[in-house]
Amino acid sequence: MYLLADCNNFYASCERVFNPRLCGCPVVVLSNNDGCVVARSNEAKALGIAMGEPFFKIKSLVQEHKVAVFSSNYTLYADMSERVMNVLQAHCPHTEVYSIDEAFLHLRQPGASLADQLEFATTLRAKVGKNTGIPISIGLGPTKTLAKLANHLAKKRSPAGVYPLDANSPELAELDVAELWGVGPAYQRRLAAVGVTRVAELAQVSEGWMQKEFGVVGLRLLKEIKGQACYDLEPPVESRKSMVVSRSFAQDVQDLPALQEALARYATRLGEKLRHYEQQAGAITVFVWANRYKAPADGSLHCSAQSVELPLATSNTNELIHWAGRIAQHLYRPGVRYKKAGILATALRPQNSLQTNLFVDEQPSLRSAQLMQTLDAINKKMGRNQVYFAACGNQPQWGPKAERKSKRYTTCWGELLRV
Amino acid sequence: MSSANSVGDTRVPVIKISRIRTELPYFQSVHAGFPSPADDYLEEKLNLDNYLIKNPASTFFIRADGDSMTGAGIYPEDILIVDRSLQAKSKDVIVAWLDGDFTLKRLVYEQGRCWLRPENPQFTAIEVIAENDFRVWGVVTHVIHQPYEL
Repeated sequence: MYLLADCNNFYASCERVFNPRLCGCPVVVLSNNDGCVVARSNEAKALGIAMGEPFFKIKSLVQEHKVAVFSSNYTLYADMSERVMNVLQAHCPHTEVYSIDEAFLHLRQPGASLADQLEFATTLRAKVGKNTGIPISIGLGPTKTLAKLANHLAKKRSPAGVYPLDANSPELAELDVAELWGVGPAYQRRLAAVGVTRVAELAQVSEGWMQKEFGVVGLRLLKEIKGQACYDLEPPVESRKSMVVSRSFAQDVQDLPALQEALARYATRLGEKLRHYEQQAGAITVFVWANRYKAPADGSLHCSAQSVELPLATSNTNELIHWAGRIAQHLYRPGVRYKKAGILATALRPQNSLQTNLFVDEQPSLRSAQLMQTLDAINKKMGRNQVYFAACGNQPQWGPKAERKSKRYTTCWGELLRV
Repeated sequence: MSSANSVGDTRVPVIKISRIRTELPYFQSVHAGFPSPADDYLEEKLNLDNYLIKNPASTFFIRADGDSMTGAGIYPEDILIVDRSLQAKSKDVIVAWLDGDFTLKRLVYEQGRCWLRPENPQFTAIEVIAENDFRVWGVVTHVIHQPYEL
Protein backbone atom coordinates (compact mmCIF):
# COMPACT_ATOMS: atom_id res chain seq x y z
CA MET A 1 0.00 0.00 0.00
CA TYR A 2 1.28 3.47 -0.95
CA LEU A 3 0.47 6.56 1.08
CA LEU A 4 0.82 10.12 -0.08
CA ALA A 5 1.20 12.47 2.88
CA ASP A 6 0.71 16.05 1.77
CA CYS A 7 0.82 19.14 3.98
CA ASN A 8 -2.31 21.27 3.74
CA ASN A 9 -1.57 24.75 2.33
CA PHE A 10 1.96 24.25 3.58
CA TYR A 11 3.38 27.80 3.56
CA ALA A 12 0.25 29.26 5.13
CA SER A 13 0.27 26.48 7.74
CA CYS A 14 3.90 27.25 8.66
CA GLU A 15 2.91 30.85 9.36
CA ARG A 16 -0.02 29.67 11.49
CA VAL A 17 2.11 27.50 13.76
CA PHE A 18 3.74 30.63 15.20
CA ASN A 19 0.69 32.84 14.83
CA PRO A 20 -2.42 30.82 15.70
CA ARG A 21 -4.54 33.95 15.36
CA LEU A 22 -4.38 33.29 11.62
CA CYS A 23 -6.24 29.99 11.97
CA GLY A 24 -9.59 30.36 10.28
CA CYS A 25 -8.52 33.59 8.58
CA PRO A 26 -7.50 34.02 4.94
CA VAL A 27 -3.71 33.87 4.49
CA VAL A 28 -1.64 34.30 1.34
CA VAL A 29 2.10 33.97 0.83
CA LEU A 30 3.82 35.93 -1.93
CA SER A 31 6.70 34.92 -4.21
CA ASN A 32 10.32 35.92 -3.65
CA ASN A 33 9.82 39.52 -4.63
CA ASP A 34 6.36 40.02 -3.19
CA GLY A 35 5.16 39.79 -6.77
CA CYS A 36 2.63 36.98 -7.02
CA VAL A 37 0.61 34.70 -4.79
CA VAL A 38 2.39 31.36 -4.32
CA ALA A 39 0.29 29.90 -1.49
CA ARG A 40 -3.23 30.37 -0.17
CA SER A 41 -5.15 29.14 2.82
CA ASN A 42 -8.57 27.61 2.14
CA GLU A 43 -10.20 30.86 3.26
CA ALA A 44 -8.14 32.81 0.72
CA LYS A 45 -9.06 30.30 -1.99
CA ALA A 46 -12.72 30.78 -1.08
CA LEU A 47 -12.34 34.53 -1.67
CA GLY A 48 -11.41 33.71 -5.26
CA ILE A 49 -7.70 34.53 -4.94
CA ALA A 50 -5.97 32.49 -7.63
CA MET A 51 -2.56 30.84 -7.55
CA GLY A 52 0.06 32.98 -9.26
CA GLU A 53 -2.10 36.10 -9.24
CA PRO A 54 -0.07 39.34 -9.13
CA PHE A 55 -0.35 40.94 -5.73
CA PHE A 56 -1.33 44.39 -7.01
CA LYS A 57 -4.45 42.88 -8.58
CA ILE A 58 -5.79 41.56 -5.27
CA LYS A 59 -4.89 44.51 -3.06
CA SER A 60 -8.45 45.75 -2.63
CA LEU A 61 -9.70 42.22 -1.93
CA VAL A 62 -6.97 41.86 0.69
CA GLN A 63 -7.99 45.07 2.42
CA GLU A 64 -11.69 44.35 2.31
CA HIS A 65 -11.40 40.87 3.80
CA LYS A 66 -8.42 41.48 6.08
CA VAL A 67 -6.30 38.85 4.36
CA ALA A 68 -3.00 38.22 6.13
CA VAL A 69 -0.21 38.64 3.58
CA PHE A 70 3.31 37.27 3.99
CA SER A 71 6.50 37.44 1.98
CA SER A 72 7.80 33.94 1.51
CA ASN A 73 10.03 32.85 4.37
CA TYR A 74 11.79 29.87 2.82
CA THR A 75 14.15 29.49 5.76
CA LEU A 76 11.18 28.79 8.00
CA TYR A 77 9.38 26.60 5.45
CA ALA A 78 12.46 24.46 4.84
CA ASP A 79 12.96 23.87 8.56
CA MET A 80 9.30 22.99 9.11
CA SER A 81 9.39 20.66 6.09
CA GLU A 82 12.35 18.82 7.53
CA ARG A 83 10.48 18.34 10.81
CA VAL A 84 7.41 16.94 9.04
CA MET A 85 9.55 14.57 6.97
CA ASN A 86 11.42 13.43 10.08
CA VAL A 87 8.18 12.48 11.83
CA LEU A 88 7.00 10.57 8.73
CA GLN A 89 10.31 8.76 8.41
CA ALA A 90 10.32 7.88 12.09
CA HIS A 91 7.08 5.95 11.57
CA CYS A 92 7.71 4.44 8.16
CA PRO A 93 11.20 3.50 7.01
CA HIS A 94 10.17 3.40 3.35
CA THR A 95 9.65 7.07 2.68
CA GLU A 96 10.37 9.16 -0.39
CA VAL A 97 10.42 12.91 0.14
CA TYR A 98 8.73 14.02 -3.06
CA SER A 99 8.66 17.79 -2.60
CA ILE A 100 8.91 20.36 0.20
CA ASP A 101 5.40 19.41 1.38
CA GLU A 102 4.76 15.86 0.08
CA ALA A 103 6.13 12.41 0.77
CA PHE A 104 5.27 8.95 -0.50
CA LEU A 105 5.29 6.18 2.08
CA HIS A 106 5.24 2.49 1.28
CA LEU A 107 3.64 0.26 3.90
CA ARG A 108 5.11 -3.20 3.65
CA GLN A 109 2.84 -5.19 5.90
CA PRO A 110 1.49 -8.04 3.78
CA GLY A 111 -1.14 -9.21 6.24
CA ALA A 112 -2.48 -5.80 7.24
CA SER A 113 -6.15 -5.12 6.56
CA LEU A 114 -7.41 -1.88 5.07
CA ALA A 115 -8.74 -0.95 8.50
CA ASP A 116 -5.25 -1.38 9.99
CA GLN A 117 -3.73 0.76 7.28
CA LEU A 118 -6.35 3.46 7.72
CA GLU A 119 -5.68 3.46 11.43
CA PHE A 120 -1.95 3.78 10.80
CA ALA A 121 -2.58 6.75 8.50
CA THR A 122 -4.94 8.40 10.97
CA THR A 123 -2.47 8.04 13.83
CA LEU A 124 0.38 9.30 11.68
CA ARG A 125 -1.62 12.32 10.60
CA ALA A 126 -2.43 13.17 14.23
CA LYS A 127 1.21 12.74 15.20
CA VAL A 128 2.51 15.11 12.51
CA GLY A 129 -0.17 17.62 13.50
CA LYS A 130 0.72 17.49 17.17
CA ASN A 131 4.50 17.36 16.87
CA THR A 132 4.96 20.01 14.22
CA GLY A 133 1.70 21.96 14.14
CA ILE A 134 1.37 21.30 10.40
CA PRO A 135 -1.91 19.71 9.25
CA ILE A 136 -1.50 17.00 6.63
CA SER A 137 -3.78 14.84 4.50
CA ILE A 138 -3.07 11.26 3.58
CA GLY A 139 -4.27 9.39 0.50
CA LEU A 140 -3.92 5.61 0.35
CA GLY A 141 -3.82 3.40 -2.75
CA PRO A 142 -2.21 0.29 -4.19
CA THR A 143 -0.16 2.50 -6.55
CA LYS A 144 1.44 5.93 -6.26
CA THR A 145 -0.97 7.34 -8.84
CA LEU A 146 -4.03 6.16 -6.89
CA ALA A 147 -2.54 7.34 -3.58
CA LYS A 148 -1.99 10.77 -5.08
CA LEU A 149 -5.54 10.85 -6.43
CA ALA A 150 -6.84 9.70 -3.04
CA ASN A 151 -5.05 12.63 -1.45
CA HIS A 152 -7.25 15.08 -3.39
CA LEU A 153 -10.26 13.38 -1.84
CA ALA A 154 -8.69 13.35 1.61
CA LYS A 155 -8.40 17.14 1.35
CA LYS A 156 -11.82 17.77 -0.16
CA ARG A 157 -14.11 15.15 1.28
CA SER A 158 -12.68 13.71 4.45
CA PRO A 159 -12.91 15.60 7.74
CA ALA A 160 -10.47 13.00 9.09
CA GLY A 161 -7.99 13.93 6.34
CA VAL A 162 -7.44 10.30 5.34
CA TYR A 163 -8.91 8.65 2.23
CA PRO A 164 -8.34 5.31 0.51
CA LEU A 165 -8.87 4.47 -3.16
CA ASP A 166 -8.38 1.30 -5.14
CA ALA A 167 -8.98 0.33 -8.75
CA ASN A 168 -12.60 -0.57 -8.01
CA SER A 169 -13.56 2.53 -6.03
CA PRO A 170 -16.85 4.00 -7.32
CA GLU A 171 -15.34 7.51 -6.95
CA LEU A 172 -13.26 6.88 -10.08
CA ALA A 173 -16.43 7.21 -12.19
CA GLU A 174 -16.83 10.87 -11.20
CA LEU A 175 -13.21 11.98 -10.95
CA ASP A 176 -11.86 13.97 -13.87
CA VAL A 177 -8.75 12.61 -15.62
CA ALA A 178 -7.21 16.05 -15.13
CA GLU A 179 -6.90 15.21 -11.42
CA LEU A 180 -4.46 12.42 -12.25
CA TRP A 181 -0.77 12.74 -11.53
CA GLY A 182 1.00 13.78 -14.72
CA VAL A 183 -2.10 14.53 -16.80
CA GLY A 184 -1.81 18.06 -18.12
CA PRO A 185 -4.18 20.05 -20.33
CA ALA A 186 -2.71 18.65 -23.57
CA TYR A 187 -3.13 15.07 -22.36
CA GLN A 188 -6.62 15.90 -21.22
CA ARG A 189 -7.64 17.29 -24.63
CA ARG A 190 -6.36 14.23 -26.47
CA LEU A 191 -8.30 11.96 -24.15
CA ALA A 192 -11.44 14.09 -24.40
CA ALA A 193 -11.22 13.80 -28.20
CA VAL A 194 -11.90 10.07 -27.90
CA GLY A 195 -14.58 10.57 -25.25
CA VAL A 196 -12.51 9.84 -22.15
CA THR A 197 -13.01 12.42 -19.40
CA ARG A 198 -13.35 10.34 -16.21
CA VAL A 199 -10.75 8.21 -14.51
CA ALA A 200 -13.00 5.11 -14.66
CA GLU A 201 -13.39 5.61 -18.42
CA LEU A 202 -9.65 5.79 -18.84
CA ALA A 203 -9.29 2.53 -16.93
CA GLN A 204 -11.39 0.86 -19.66
CA VAL A 205 -9.21 1.73 -22.67
CA SER A 206 -6.96 -0.98 -24.07
CA GLU A 207 -3.32 -1.08 -23.11
CA GLY A 208 -2.30 -1.37 -26.77
CA TRP A 209 -4.15 1.82 -27.68
CA MET A 210 -2.74 3.66 -24.69
CA GLN A 211 0.81 2.66 -25.55
CA LYS A 212 0.34 3.62 -29.21
CA GLU A 213 -1.11 7.03 -28.33
CA PHE A 214 0.80 8.00 -25.22
CA GLY A 215 3.87 5.78 -25.20
CA VAL A 216 5.23 3.90 -22.25
CA VAL A 217 4.45 6.71 -19.81
CA GLY A 218 0.78 6.54 -20.81
CA LEU A 219 0.78 2.77 -20.50
CA ARG A 220 2.19 3.01 -16.99
CA LEU A 221 -0.45 5.57 -16.04
CA LEU A 222 -3.15 3.18 -17.26
CA LYS A 223 -1.69 0.25 -15.33
CA GLU A 224 -1.34 2.36 -12.21
CA ILE A 225 -5.01 3.40 -12.19
CA LYS A 226 -5.88 -0.27 -12.72
CA GLY A 227 -4.00 -1.01 -9.52
CA GLN A 228 -0.76 -2.45 -10.95
CA ALA A 229 2.15 -0.55 -9.41
CA CYS A 230 4.65 0.64 -12.03
CA TYR A 231 6.43 3.20 -9.89
CA ASP A 232 8.33 2.29 -6.77
CA LEU A 233 9.73 4.74 -4.24
CA GLU A 234 12.56 6.71 -5.78
CA PRO A 235 15.82 6.37 -3.95
CA PRO A 236 17.00 9.65 -2.41
CA VAL A 237 19.14 11.79 -4.66
CA GLU A 238 22.70 10.97 -3.66
CA SER A 239 24.48 13.56 -5.66
CA ARG A 240 22.94 16.18 -7.83
CA LYS A 241 23.71 16.84 -11.45
CA SER A 242 23.50 20.59 -11.13
CA MET A 243 22.83 23.36 -8.67
CA VAL A 244 21.33 26.74 -9.33
CA VAL A 245 20.85 30.05 -7.53
CA SER A 246 18.67 32.62 -9.24
CA ARG A 247 16.49 35.49 -8.10
CA SER A 248 14.46 38.35 -9.49
CA PHE A 249 15.43 41.89 -8.64
CA ALA A 250 13.09 44.18 -6.73
CA GLN A 251 13.91 46.89 -9.24
CA ASP A 252 15.31 46.47 -12.73
CA VAL A 253 19.09 46.62 -12.80
CA GLN A 254 20.65 48.69 -15.55
CA ASP A 255 24.32 49.09 -14.80
CA LEU A 256 27.04 46.48 -14.90
CA PRO A 257 28.49 46.97 -11.38
CA ALA A 258 25.06 46.41 -9.81
CA LEU A 259 24.53 43.31 -11.95
CA GLN A 260 27.94 41.99 -10.93
CA GLU A 261 27.17 42.73 -7.30
CA ALA A 262 23.97 40.71 -7.48
CA LEU A 263 25.79 37.86 -9.18
CA ALA A 264 28.51 37.97 -6.53
CA ARG A 265 25.81 37.40 -3.90
CA TYR A 266 24.37 34.47 -5.83
CA ALA A 267 27.88 33.09 -6.33
CA THR A 268 28.37 33.31 -2.57
CA ARG A 269 25.19 31.34 -1.98
CA LEU A 270 26.16 28.85 -4.68
CA GLY A 271 29.53 28.33 -3.03
CA GLU A 272 27.87 27.69 0.33
CA LYS A 273 25.50 25.20 -1.27
CA LEU A 274 28.27 23.38 -3.09
CA ARG A 275 30.34 23.10 0.08
CA HIS A 276 27.33 22.02 2.09
CA TYR A 277 26.75 19.10 -0.28
CA GLU A 278 30.51 18.52 -0.58
CA GLN A 279 30.47 19.13 -4.32
CA GLN A 280 32.61 21.10 -6.70
CA ALA A 281 31.48 22.72 -9.94
CA GLY A 282 33.35 21.84 -13.12
CA ALA A 283 31.52 24.49 -15.09
CA ILE A 284 29.26 27.44 -14.42
CA THR A 285 26.64 29.19 -16.51
CA VAL A 286 25.40 32.69 -15.85
CA PHE A 287 21.92 33.75 -17.00
CA VAL A 288 20.51 37.24 -17.22
CA TRP A 289 16.89 37.97 -18.02
CA ALA A 290 15.84 41.32 -19.46
CA ASN A 291 12.51 42.78 -18.45
CA ARG A 292 10.53 41.71 -21.48
CA TYR A 293 7.94 44.42 -21.00
CA LYS A 294 10.51 47.16 -21.13
CA ALA A 295 12.83 45.66 -23.72
CA PRO A 296 14.73 47.95 -26.04
CA ALA A 297 13.40 47.85 -29.55
CA ASP A 298 16.61 46.43 -31.00
CA GLY A 299 15.27 42.92 -30.82
CA SER A 300 17.90 41.73 -28.34
CA LEU A 301 17.16 38.50 -26.56
CA HIS A 302 15.00 38.31 -23.48
CA CYS A 303 17.35 35.87 -21.79
CA SER A 304 21.01 35.42 -22.49
CA ALA A 305 23.46 33.01 -20.96
CA GLN A 306 27.06 32.01 -21.20
CA SER A 307 29.00 29.12 -19.72
CA VAL A 308 32.58 28.63 -18.76
CA GLU A 309 34.41 25.42 -18.07
CA LEU A 310 36.54 26.02 -15.00
CA PRO A 311 40.24 25.19 -15.13
CA LEU A 312 39.87 23.34 -11.84
CA ALA A 313 36.58 22.22 -10.37
CA THR A 314 35.83 24.43 -7.40
CA SER A 315 33.41 25.33 -4.65
CA ASN A 316 35.42 28.39 -3.76
CA THR A 317 33.30 31.53 -3.49
CA ASN A 318 36.12 33.79 -4.58
CA GLU A 319 36.55 31.92 -7.84
CA LEU A 320 32.84 31.64 -8.48
CA ILE A 321 32.50 35.42 -8.00
CA HIS A 322 35.42 35.98 -10.34
CA TRP A 323 33.95 33.89 -13.15
CA ALA A 324 30.40 35.12 -12.65
CA GLY A 325 31.65 38.71 -12.91
CA ARG A 326 33.65 37.94 -16.06
CA ILE A 327 30.67 36.30 -17.75
CA ALA A 328 28.40 39.17 -16.72
CA GLN A 329 30.81 41.50 -18.49
CA HIS A 330 30.33 39.53 -21.71
CA LEU A 331 26.57 39.33 -21.41
CA TYR A 332 25.93 42.90 -20.33
CA ARG A 333 24.33 45.25 -22.88
CA PRO A 334 23.94 48.92 -21.95
CA GLY A 335 20.37 50.15 -21.95
CA VAL A 336 18.83 46.78 -21.12
CA ARG A 337 16.73 46.63 -17.96
CA TYR A 338 17.64 43.39 -16.23
CA LYS A 339 14.90 41.74 -14.22
CA LYS A 340 16.54 38.56 -13.01
CA ALA A 341 19.88 36.77 -12.97
CA GLY A 342 21.16 33.38 -11.94
CA ILE A 343 24.12 31.06 -11.80
CA LEU A 344 24.03 27.38 -12.62
CA ALA A 345 26.77 25.01 -11.52
CA THR A 346 27.22 21.88 -13.64
CA ALA A 347 29.71 19.05 -14.09
CA LEU A 348 29.50 18.55 -10.35
CA ARG A 349 31.91 16.16 -8.70
CA PRO A 350 32.53 15.17 -5.12
CA GLN A 351 34.73 17.57 -3.22
CA ASN A 352 37.46 15.10 -2.49
CA SER A 353 37.84 13.54 -5.90
CA LEU A 354 41.29 14.14 -7.29
CA GLN A 355 41.52 16.45 -10.22
CA THR A 356 44.69 18.16 -11.31
CA ASN A 357 45.61 20.50 -14.07
CA LEU A 358 49.17 20.73 -15.23
CA PHE A 359 48.83 24.44 -15.92
CA VAL A 360 47.19 25.51 -12.70
CA ASP A 361 49.03 25.79 -9.43
CA GLU A 362 47.07 23.89 -6.80
CA GLN A 363 48.61 25.52 -3.77
CA PRO A 364 46.65 28.79 -3.67
CA SER A 365 43.36 26.97 -4.17
CA LEU A 366 44.15 24.60 -1.34
CA ARG A 367 44.88 27.50 0.94
CA SER A 368 41.61 29.20 0.09
CA ALA A 369 39.75 25.98 0.82
CA GLN A 370 40.69 26.59 4.39
CA LEU A 371 39.55 30.19 4.09
CA MET A 372 36.16 28.92 2.89
CA GLN A 373 35.95 26.56 5.85
CA THR A 374 36.62 29.44 8.21
CA LEU A 375 34.14 31.66 6.41
CA ASP A 376 31.42 29.00 6.60
CA ALA A 377 32.16 28.39 10.26
CA ILE A 378 31.83 32.09 11.11
CA ASN A 379 28.64 32.54 9.11
CA LYS A 380 27.17 29.41 10.58
CA LYS A 381 27.89 30.58 14.10
CA MET A 382 27.08 34.26 13.76
CA GLY A 383 24.31 34.16 11.14
CA ARG A 384 24.30 34.18 7.36
CA ASN A 385 26.29 36.88 5.58
CA GLN A 386 28.14 38.12 8.64
CA VAL A 387 31.34 37.85 6.63
CA TYR A 388 31.24 38.21 2.86
CA PHE A 389 33.27 39.31 -0.12
CA ALA A 390 33.38 43.03 -0.87
CA ALA A 391 32.24 42.23 -4.41
CA CYS A 392 28.79 41.56 -2.98
CA GLY A 393 28.36 45.22 -2.14
CA ASN A 394 26.99 46.75 0.99
CA GLN A 395 23.54 48.04 0.34
CA PRO A 396 21.93 46.15 -2.44
CA GLN A 397 19.24 48.04 -4.33
CA TRP A 398 18.41 44.91 -6.24
CA GLY A 399 17.69 42.73 -3.22
CA PRO A 400 14.34 41.03 -2.82
CA LYS A 401 11.59 43.13 -1.29
CA ALA A 402 10.23 40.68 1.28
CA GLU A 403 8.47 43.49 3.11
CA ARG A 404 6.06 41.21 4.92
CA LYS A 405 8.34 38.42 5.96
CA SER A 406 7.60 36.67 9.24
CA LYS A 407 10.41 35.89 11.68
CA ARG A 408 12.80 32.99 11.21
CA TYR A 409 11.41 31.39 14.35
CA THR A 410 13.37 28.16 14.08
CA THR A 411 16.76 29.17 12.72
CA CYS A 412 17.73 32.49 14.27
CA TRP A 413 18.31 33.22 17.96
CA GLY A 414 17.31 36.84 17.51
CA GLU A 415 13.95 35.98 15.96
CA LEU A 416 12.49 33.41 18.33
CA LEU A 417 8.80 33.40 19.16
CA ARG A 418 8.26 35.43 22.36
CA VAL A 419 5.84 34.16 24.97
CA MET B 1 70.98 7.49 10.49
CA SER B 2 71.50 11.21 10.14
CA SER B 3 68.52 11.53 7.81
CA ALA B 4 66.09 9.78 10.13
CA ASN B 5 64.49 10.57 13.45
CA SER B 6 63.77 7.83 15.85
CA VAL B 7 60.48 8.18 17.69
CA GLY B 8 59.57 5.26 19.83
CA ASP B 9 60.40 2.35 17.59
CA THR B 10 59.29 3.96 14.34
CA ARG B 11 61.67 5.68 12.02
CA VAL B 12 60.52 8.69 10.12
CA PRO B 13 62.73 10.49 7.64
CA VAL B 14 63.38 14.04 8.87
CA ILE B 15 62.90 15.51 5.45
CA LYS B 16 59.31 14.26 5.30
CA ILE B 17 58.30 15.86 8.57
CA SER B 18 59.57 19.25 7.59
CA ARG B 19 57.91 19.09 4.20
CA ILE B 20 54.53 18.23 5.62
CA ARG B 21 54.72 20.94 8.24
CA THR B 22 55.69 23.76 5.96
CA GLU B 23 53.74 23.02 2.83
CA LEU B 24 50.48 21.45 3.91
CA PRO B 25 49.01 23.53 6.68
CA TYR B 26 45.81 21.46 6.71
CA PHE B 27 47.13 18.64 8.77
CA GLN B 28 46.46 19.98 12.21
CA SER B 29 49.10 17.82 13.74
CA VAL B 30 51.46 15.23 12.43
CA HIS B 31 51.77 12.10 14.45
CA ALA B 32 55.26 10.89 13.94
CA GLY B 33 54.59 7.31 14.82
CA PHE B 34 54.11 7.49 18.58
CA PRO B 35 50.45 6.82 19.28
CA SER B 36 48.78 8.74 22.08
CA PRO B 37 47.92 6.39 24.93
CA ALA B 38 44.68 8.39 25.35
CA ASP B 39 43.40 7.43 21.88
CA ASP B 40 41.74 4.29 23.16
CA TYR B 41 39.77 6.30 25.70
CA LEU B 42 38.43 8.90 23.27
CA GLU B 43 34.74 9.42 23.62
CA GLU B 44 32.43 11.91 22.04
CA LYS B 45 32.41 15.29 23.72
CA LEU B 46 29.48 16.17 25.90
CA ASN B 47 26.81 17.61 23.73
CA LEU B 48 24.00 19.77 25.13
CA ASP B 49 21.71 18.94 22.23
CA ASN B 50 21.76 15.28 23.17
CA TYR B 51 21.07 16.14 26.78
CA LEU B 52 18.34 18.69 26.29
CA ILE B 53 16.52 17.54 23.17
CA LYS B 54 14.86 14.14 23.01
CA ASN B 55 12.66 14.83 19.97
CA PRO B 56 14.40 17.22 17.56
CA ALA B 57 11.52 17.28 15.04
CA SER B 58 9.06 18.54 17.66
CA THR B 59 11.37 20.72 19.76
CA PHE B 60 11.29 24.50 19.43
CA PHE B 61 13.14 27.32 21.19
CA ILE B 62 10.99 30.14 22.52
CA ARG B 63 12.04 33.37 24.26
CA ALA B 64 10.36 34.13 27.60
CA ASP B 65 8.86 37.59 27.60
CA GLY B 66 6.93 38.30 30.82
CA ASP B 67 7.68 37.79 34.53
CA SER B 68 4.65 35.76 35.55
CA MET B 69 6.78 32.62 36.03
CA THR B 70 9.76 33.92 38.01
CA GLY B 71 8.83 31.57 40.85
CA ALA B 72 9.46 28.66 38.51
CA GLY B 73 12.88 30.07 37.64
CA ILE B 74 11.79 31.57 34.33
CA TYR B 75 12.85 35.17 33.79
CA PRO B 76 12.36 37.53 30.86
CA GLU B 77 14.75 36.77 27.96
CA ASP B 78 15.34 33.20 29.10
CA ILE B 79 15.21 30.59 26.36
CA LEU B 80 12.60 27.90 26.79
CA ILE B 81 13.03 24.49 25.24
CA VAL B 82 9.57 23.38 24.24
CA ASP B 83 8.58 19.91 23.05
CA ARG B 84 5.27 19.75 21.18
CA SER B 85 5.18 15.96 21.11
CA LEU B 86 4.66 15.60 24.88
CA GLN B 87 1.18 15.17 26.26
CA ALA B 88 0.73 17.99 28.78
CA LYS B 89 -0.12 16.75 32.24
CA SER B 90 -0.94 18.48 35.50
CA LYS B 91 2.01 20.50 36.94
CA ASP B 92 3.74 20.86 33.56
CA VAL B 93 4.85 24.34 32.54
CA ILE B 94 3.29 24.89 29.14
CA VAL B 95 3.13 27.33 26.29
CA ALA B 96 -0.57 27.73 25.59
CA TRP B 97 -2.77 29.61 23.18
CA LEU B 98 -5.60 31.24 25.09
CA ASP B 99 -8.23 33.45 23.46
CA GLY B 100 -5.94 35.03 20.91
CA ASP B 101 -2.68 35.23 22.86
CA PHE B 102 0.23 33.04 23.80
CA THR B 103 0.75 32.50 27.51
CA LEU B 104 3.33 30.71 29.63
CA LYS B 105 1.89 29.12 32.78
CA ARG B 106 1.79 26.02 34.90
CA LEU B 107 -1.06 23.73 33.90
CA VAL B 108 -2.95 22.40 36.91
CA TYR B 109 -5.86 19.98 36.90
CA GLU B 110 -7.68 20.04 40.24
CA GLN B 111 -10.94 18.34 41.12
CA GLY B 112 -12.15 18.32 37.54
CA ARG B 113 -11.15 21.93 36.88
CA CYS B 114 -8.33 23.21 34.71
CA TRP B 115 -6.13 26.13 35.75
CA LEU B 116 -3.32 28.13 34.19
CA ARG B 117 -1.34 29.07 37.26
CA PRO B 118 1.35 31.80 37.28
CA GLU B 119 4.32 31.51 39.64
CA ASN B 120 4.49 35.08 40.82
CA PRO B 121 2.18 36.40 43.56
CA GLN B 122 1.47 39.52 41.52
CA PHE B 123 -0.47 37.47 38.97
CA THR B 124 -3.70 35.56 39.36
CA ALA B 125 -4.53 32.11 38.15
CA ILE B 126 -6.82 31.71 35.15
CA GLU B 127 -9.43 29.01 35.06
CA VAL B 128 -9.86 27.47 31.64
CA ILE B 129 -13.48 26.77 30.81
CA ALA B 130 -15.18 25.25 27.80
CA GLU B 131 -15.90 28.70 26.29
CA ASN B 132 -12.20 29.57 26.06
CA ASP B 133 -10.24 29.09 22.87
CA PHE B 134 -7.54 27.06 24.59
CA ARG B 135 -4.82 24.93 23.05
CA VAL B 136 -1.58 23.57 24.46
CA TRP B 137 1.17 24.65 22.06
CA GLY B 138 3.94 22.70 23.75
CA VAL B 139 5.44 21.55 27.03
CA VAL B 140 8.47 23.38 28.46
CA THR B 141 11.19 20.81 29.19
CA HIS B 142 14.12 23.09 30.09
CA VAL B 143 14.89 26.73 30.74
CA ILE B 144 18.17 28.35 29.72
CA HIS B 145 18.94 31.24 32.02
CA GLN B 146 21.92 33.55 31.91
CA PRO B 147 22.62 34.50 35.54
CA TYR B 148 24.20 37.86 34.78
CA GLU B 149 25.09 40.10 31.87
CA LEU B 150 28.23 38.71 30.30
